[in-house]
Amino acid sequence: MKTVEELGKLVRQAVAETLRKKDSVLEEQRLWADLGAESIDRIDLTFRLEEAVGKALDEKILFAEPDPTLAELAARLAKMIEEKK
Amino acid sequence: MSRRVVITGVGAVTGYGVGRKVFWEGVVGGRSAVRALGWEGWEKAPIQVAAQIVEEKSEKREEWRSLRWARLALQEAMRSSGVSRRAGIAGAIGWPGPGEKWEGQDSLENLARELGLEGERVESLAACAASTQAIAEAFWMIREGEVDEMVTGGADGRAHPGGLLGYDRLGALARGFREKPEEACQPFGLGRSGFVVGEGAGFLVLEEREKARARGANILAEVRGAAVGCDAWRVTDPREDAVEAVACVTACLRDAGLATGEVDAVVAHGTGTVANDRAEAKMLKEVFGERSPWVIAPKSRIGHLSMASGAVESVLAVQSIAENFLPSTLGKDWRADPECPVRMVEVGGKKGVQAILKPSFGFGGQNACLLFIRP
Repeated sequence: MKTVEELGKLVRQAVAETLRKKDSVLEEQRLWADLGAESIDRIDLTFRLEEAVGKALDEKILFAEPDPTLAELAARLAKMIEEKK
Repeated sequence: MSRRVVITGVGAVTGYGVGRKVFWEGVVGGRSAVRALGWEGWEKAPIQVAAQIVEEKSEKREEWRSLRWARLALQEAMRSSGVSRRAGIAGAIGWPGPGEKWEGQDSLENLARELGLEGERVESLAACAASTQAIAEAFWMIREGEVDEMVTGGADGRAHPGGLLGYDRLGALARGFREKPEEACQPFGLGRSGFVVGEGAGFLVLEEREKARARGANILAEVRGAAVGCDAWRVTDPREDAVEAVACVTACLRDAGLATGEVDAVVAHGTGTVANDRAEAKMLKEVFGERSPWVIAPKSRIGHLSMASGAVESVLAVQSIAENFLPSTLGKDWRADPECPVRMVEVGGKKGVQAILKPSFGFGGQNACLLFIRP
């Protein structure tokens, strides 16, 4: 079981890889508004997060409105993993 | 007993958008992904249409677009299949376009690293037959017992000014059609005048059948045979007598152990150029005689995806088997050409199709062919 902190790091890494960000991304940044993600990035990001946590994830819940910060995304991920147990 | 090779997942990115579902629904719904180009100052250029993938922001990232589509198609195929990461990759990825940055060592290394694919890498550079050849190689590797799982396909995107004008200089593209983009590409039709550039990616997951069954995988179709060859003739023209194209398709049927009468349908290369379609129709007549299988030619809808064309069209062939439906790919203005006596599907349907042939013919005389059957 990963800690919230570990999940946060994992989310930031997956987002940086998906969006080809060389500089580190921050947990308070919003996925669409601040980091410039677009709709098709959802597939790429979901795949990377699934690989990282080893579980199938629901895209609709993960990326539901409002535009999540990376910290919120990690919290959604933690909740989803908890519910899947 | 010979090992059998099945398809357990497919993924696609086309002018319709991301995903195999929007691709299938677009083609079945009779819509075209070919649209007028919206570039500023482009109104007087000879080429006015393409099945382009318009993204909101990736241009700003200077990202290698073909590679990005390959990743998305692969992710979709792998997620739907559940294939293990021991799989290798056989692919054909178009090089970066203007303003796009090269990433990593090479395209397949990049995909393998990002997706965690631990197996062998096989690259094909056989022009517009490249991804078809890559799928053939992956198929043979599994059938001959070298490996058990491969992901295979291709990606390409040349709907940029340099790409379009380069093809236009060769006389290969349909000019104009700004007001009627959906009628620009008319494979095997009397009014055909060239192809339309398309963009995107297609990937398939191939597995050894017994292992796929043992893990409870969803089997969509089986790859039954393959062949590759070369005209050894001219750079851009196919051989008019189609001798090598006939040899390639015949070799594919032999590899599959199928008689010509057992092939129900062909997802043709059908570019919409005068020369390709004439030679391909001649090939079909030589191979199948008077009893032509049903023919569809999806480049009318999604354009010509260059190196990725065979992979995306293979995804369509697999979906046709899995969905038990053969869509029509004809536009409203399409009229039969007596020089191309092929049996086009005019109304979608044809349930019960058991075997679909997928030939590809590329510049340099590159020929490749696959045969898919119902599992």
